[in-house]
Amino acid sequence: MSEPSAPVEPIAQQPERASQPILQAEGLSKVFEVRGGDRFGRKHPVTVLDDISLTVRRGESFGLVGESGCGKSTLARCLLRLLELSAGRVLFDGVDLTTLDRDELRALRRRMQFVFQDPFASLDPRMTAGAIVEEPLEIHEIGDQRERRQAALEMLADVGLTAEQARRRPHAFSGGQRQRIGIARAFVLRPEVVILDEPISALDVSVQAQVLNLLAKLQEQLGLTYVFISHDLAVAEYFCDRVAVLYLGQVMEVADRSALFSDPLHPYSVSLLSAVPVPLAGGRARRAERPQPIGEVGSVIERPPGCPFEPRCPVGRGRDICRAERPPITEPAAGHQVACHFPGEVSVHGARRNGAGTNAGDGDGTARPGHTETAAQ
Amino acid sequence: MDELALSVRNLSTVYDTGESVVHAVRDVSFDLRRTERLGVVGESGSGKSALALSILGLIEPPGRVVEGEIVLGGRDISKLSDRQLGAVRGKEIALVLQDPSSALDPVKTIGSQIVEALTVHEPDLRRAAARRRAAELLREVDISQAERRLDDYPHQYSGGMRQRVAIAIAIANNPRVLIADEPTTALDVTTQAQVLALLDRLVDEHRTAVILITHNLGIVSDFCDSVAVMYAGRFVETSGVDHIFVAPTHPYSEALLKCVPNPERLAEGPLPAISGFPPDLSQLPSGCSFAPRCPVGRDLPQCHEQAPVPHRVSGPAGEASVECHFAEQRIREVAV
Amino acid sequence: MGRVIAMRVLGSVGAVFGATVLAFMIMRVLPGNPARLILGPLATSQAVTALNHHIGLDQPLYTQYWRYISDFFQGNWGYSYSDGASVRKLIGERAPATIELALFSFVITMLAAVGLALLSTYRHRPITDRIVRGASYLGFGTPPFFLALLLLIVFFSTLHILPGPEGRLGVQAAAPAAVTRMYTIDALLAGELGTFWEALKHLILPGLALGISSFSFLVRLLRANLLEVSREPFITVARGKGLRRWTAFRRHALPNAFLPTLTAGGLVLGEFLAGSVLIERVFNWPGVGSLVFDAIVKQDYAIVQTFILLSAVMFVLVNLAVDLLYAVIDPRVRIPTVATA
Repeated sequence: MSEPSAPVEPIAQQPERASQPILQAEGLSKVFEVRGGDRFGRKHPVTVLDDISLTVRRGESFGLVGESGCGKSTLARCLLRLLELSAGRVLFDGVDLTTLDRDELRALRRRMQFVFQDPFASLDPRMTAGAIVEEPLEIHEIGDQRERRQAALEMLADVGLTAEQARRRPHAFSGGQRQRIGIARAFVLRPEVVILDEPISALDVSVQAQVLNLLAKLQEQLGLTYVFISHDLAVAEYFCDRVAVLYLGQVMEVADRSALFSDPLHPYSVSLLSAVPVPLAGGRARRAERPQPIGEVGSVIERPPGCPFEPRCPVGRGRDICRAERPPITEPAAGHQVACHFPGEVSVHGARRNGAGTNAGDGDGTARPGHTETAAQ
Repeated sequence: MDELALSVRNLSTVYDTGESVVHAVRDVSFDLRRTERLGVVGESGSGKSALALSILGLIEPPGRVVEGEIVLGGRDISKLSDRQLGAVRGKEIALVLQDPSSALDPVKTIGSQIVEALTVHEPDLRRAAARRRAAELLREVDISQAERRLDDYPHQYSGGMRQRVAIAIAIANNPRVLIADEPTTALDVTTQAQVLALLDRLVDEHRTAVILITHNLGIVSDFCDSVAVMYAGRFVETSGVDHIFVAPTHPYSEALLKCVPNPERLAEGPLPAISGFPPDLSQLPSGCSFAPRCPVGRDLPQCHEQAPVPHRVSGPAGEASVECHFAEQRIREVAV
Repeated sequence: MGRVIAMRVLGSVGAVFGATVLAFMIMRVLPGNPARLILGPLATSQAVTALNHHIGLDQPLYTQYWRYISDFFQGNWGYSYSDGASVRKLIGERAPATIELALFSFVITMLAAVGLALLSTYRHRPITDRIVRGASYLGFGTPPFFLALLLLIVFFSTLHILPGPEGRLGVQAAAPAAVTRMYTIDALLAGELGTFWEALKHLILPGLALGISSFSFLVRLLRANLLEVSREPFITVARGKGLRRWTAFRRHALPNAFLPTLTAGGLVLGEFLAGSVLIERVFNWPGVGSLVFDAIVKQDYAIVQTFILLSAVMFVLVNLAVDLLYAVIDPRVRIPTVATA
């Protein structure tokens, strides 16, 4: 394809390209062969991702949230074709990744990068920090050695690490610092899209804040699009513009931040949000009001044929249509998609911050119709 | 009426590796009432896990508890031998750990591990009776088909179920105090909610006091009556649970709360992160251990030279004990 | 579980098959004509041809091979012209000596390894650990026969506390009534304590020589496994229940640490049973090893050929047994984990 090109201009200078889809998944499915528990240990197919379609707009932070088994990590890897798709396709800036050969794919990979969850395991312990950040430049044959070293040092400085530190190996750094190295490595190529797979989950709370700030700063500086995978809803709500909620390999709901977190339509989203403990006074009283999640997170191996959430759904449990038919994706409001036969029937009770407890510097507790509030403390 | 379940005074633990001495727990004191739930909040390197192990007498060399009084049910267990402590652990005070996938012996059945918890303290318990009680316990932690499940192995269960088993083991002998070290950190959000609800119900029914160690302030809010914020081996702020959210007085508590992502504060710009790194417990500075990172005391000689003592202060949401030179000032600033 | 067993057995069959082919090819590739060797340099070429025919060396390779393996598995192991008896009889006579030595060596090696590993990990004492780790280097890299000679020099020639290279019993004692034909066991069964003691004394040095290098390996393996397991949370949980330190260690740490050591143990036992040719030679031990040693020198193909195959099969069988044992003992193998994503 094209030669390795100059860094992409920041979004600010390209208003007409902003908010165009840069990454799209269409009917994406991924099936793994798993050795089962039967007597002969036969392999049988497990559908980890089941017909997923998503659109990520240029310049936004798109969140993927879900619990174990939802397939978010697998999805992340499929989006970059780090894993081969079993069905469907992924379009990057209009180009179908599944049709590219190895060289074309490699050239395209320059424009999309990956930051991993585990800051310990994702860095080669025998390479220095500087070498780790230089490596992508080497692989894509950008510049000569001197230029590469320079670019790497600049990138490390951008993430807050000195030239002296560039000479050290991963074991000499803390978890937060290692994650910065991972970020530097991903960003040195000036990609357009960065997929972050739980980038802060393994870090302490105070360090998480530092890394989030860094990511936000770099996004603005470089005009990046993020796909941010997280199991931590508070972080997703804080950081992402739009969020998709996944369950057992299917998309349950996609919406803007404000729409999803204040007025989720899918019973699973409601269940998820209700379950998140909020650091505000009066928590125990609030918790007594909240609906308890039903049952355990399901297994992709035993995914029901209809809606995957049906066995646990306060609305759909036992209902024929929910059991038998996979719900179609509807769009009740602009930009807000949901896969449910009965969207909007459950709402989040008093667990959200609005009007639920006093805090120094709290927002105004406006009541919203249809929600029961606990009395203000 | 509100008798004390546990009383800890001046507990200190060090790890002496020959090359360095790590002060993991430094002069920690607190009281725990009969059905009280204390949340101990701290990040890695705060010493919270070492605290749990110290109370149970499970600190292994090169670590050792160097001083302290641990009064449980009227007697000081810190002076007991390992054998004598064996009669106390699992019976009067019990432990639940973080990682359910490695908290159970992988080559023994679930049933045998629960039964073991019973027979350690009741050696004459007959097999059949022990099994019945084990099944009872499984039912109590909401595991269905209990009888059959006794013969399963840990790897056949999900994380949530394994943690329930761990809880069943802990409450098997109706302990007075339960110490739970990050019991839900490794679980899914919905499972976490369920396990916390379970814990809530059980400690109510059994009238157990709980020390819940966590880094998640949300859980503290949901579950605890009182909270202790731990930094560099010390309790820097202890108070009722509401106080810490309404008027966090110690600069570290305040900073910790602020750096939890709160969507309402998006407009305020970047998260107020805590600068610097967690302290090196083998090379603690003199003076306040938080001083190097403290937005208040960073440049004040007083904070670097003098270690603060606990100050009792009274705020809009109750009383607190705060180890900060500016405790009184700060609480006045917060009060409406 | 059925699948697990089936796969292991299939694998073992494959391994044995491979060994037969190798053994067969090696023997055919070596220089020298077996028939001439048997008959000697003065034999006539007709005699050689006739014997060749009798042995079957003029047949096509695949026929020879087929005859080779079918003979082997039927127990027809050929005839040793140099010793004048069927190979089967010879090996049968010598086997108990080797088996006894192997078992004895295995037991003392395992006991020593377990003992030292426990000493080193049970309580954290840096000095003990250092000593054990130093001890684990004993014999590391030293050829066993050299160690054998050293041991003889020290304990026999110099200190005179243990018998020299005089086989299983030396000249003083007579073999006890043959039941298992392992002198120690038979002596005990017959109540001849004096003989038992003699047999035991003669086992010590060769047992040590044979076991030392494996000991080195096992100690380090077991110590590492024990250390790893003793740090696992479930040990803390066990203690949290009120178990005493040793009880928690014994019930929970040991079994889990032993599992991976089992495989290593199987390898070691298999090696010992295959017989140490050189050690037997040094101690004049009348086992299969020294039989083979002599056979090699005398170029007695029948014995060597059979021995190669026999030790291969033995090794494979021991490992198969270990694998199956593993599958039985470790519930994670027996009951597959149902994958949760």
